[in-house]
Amino acid sequence: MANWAFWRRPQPLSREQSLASVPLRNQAIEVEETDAGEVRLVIPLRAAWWARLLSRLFYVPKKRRVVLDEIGSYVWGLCDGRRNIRDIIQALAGRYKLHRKEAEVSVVAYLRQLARRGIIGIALLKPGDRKRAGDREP
Amino acid sequence: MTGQERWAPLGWQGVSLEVPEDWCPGSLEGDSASGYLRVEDELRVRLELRWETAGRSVVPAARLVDAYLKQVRKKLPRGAPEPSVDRGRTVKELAGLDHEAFTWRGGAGARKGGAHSLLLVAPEQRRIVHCRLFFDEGNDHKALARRVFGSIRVAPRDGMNEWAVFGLRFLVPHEWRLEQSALRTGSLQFVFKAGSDELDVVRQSLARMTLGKSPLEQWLLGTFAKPLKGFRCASEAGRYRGHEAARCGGELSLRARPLAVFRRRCYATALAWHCPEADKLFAVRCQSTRPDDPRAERCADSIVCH
Repeated sequence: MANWAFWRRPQPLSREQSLASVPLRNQAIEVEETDAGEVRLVIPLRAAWWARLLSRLFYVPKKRRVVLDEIGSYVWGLCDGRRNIRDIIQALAGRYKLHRKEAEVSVVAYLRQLARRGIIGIALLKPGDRKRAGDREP
Repeated sequence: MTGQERWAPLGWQGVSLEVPEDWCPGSLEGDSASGYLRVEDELRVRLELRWETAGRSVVPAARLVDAYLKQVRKKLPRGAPEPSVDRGRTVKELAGLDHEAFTWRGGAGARKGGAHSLLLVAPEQRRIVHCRLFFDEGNDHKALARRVFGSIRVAPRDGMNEWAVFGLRFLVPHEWRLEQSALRTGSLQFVFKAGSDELDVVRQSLARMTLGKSPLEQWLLGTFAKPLKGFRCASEAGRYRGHEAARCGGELSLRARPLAVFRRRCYATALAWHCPEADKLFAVRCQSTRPDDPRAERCADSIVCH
């Protein structure tokens, strides 16, 4: 009998699992610092066939630059592969004197946005795997 | 549980209580007549509070508990084990008020646990309050429940209701009703109304960054730009409770709103201050028929900024 299990949607993460997961930077992205001390991400663009064709006639940038604001730069700095989301929330709440919930809502929304754009990945770790995630960081 | 030694006030729609500092509201619904408040810690729901207006005839708390337990039993899935209920307890601090505290234990497997409940009837305020504190099997947090239930208040103190969420705590006259609230990351705003009078309370985090873009006076006028429209406002910088502050106030301009000539004179006052210790900006605005409404000052005085 055919196994239709792949049709099933994956189980949503529990709150504990999502807070314990570790954001990892995309290694293909270059990081620069602006004069104001903010982080500038240089994201290589993967050109589709039609973009490659167009680039013979027009200028098509190969890289996209994104400048993060003060808080965004701070959170980016915390995404070092060692800290999990809970640690980042605590660090942000402590630095900017925010309530835990306020920090949690903004950090989760921000990381989700970065993950959607492929700037970071989220590693779901088992309790003993925390050190290993840090080891992957160059 | 972390933070159990440190407690924070929680106040909403005339019901106030104390909860561990790391608990915060996860859901707020309803108005002063009836509503629901859910409190969560980092991982799970810890407390639920429901309030509603009592009918004309006062029903004793014990009878309400009977009805509640009957409902709970009705909703149990078929074959589920019967929950055990420990009833008839009282809370020392609530002596004089009709109330009953009880504990139910039930569920199966991972969902095994229970809740400490308190049902309180306040006939003067015509209010019924039901508070449930959840616990897992093995740790029933009895002392915690005793402390939380003992701190519940439903009556205003000196005619003032306590509002307290996310570390912002202030007092508002009992007759003011919450018209709207916006609880956003880094920005809390409450608008109260009593007849044609209005009271606004705002707290904004990341003050240092905000003031880097615009001075305090400008922030105050920008924050209340819409409600202050039409008022002949004069603003001035000053000090408030040792902090940098800005004030503005004025009368409703008849040129801007000519039809206001048929109504009583209307005045607006607004005050904002910057607390560097908390890195927050606080602002209170009052629109009233009195030129210097003392209620605005009283509300601002009650805000604990750091």
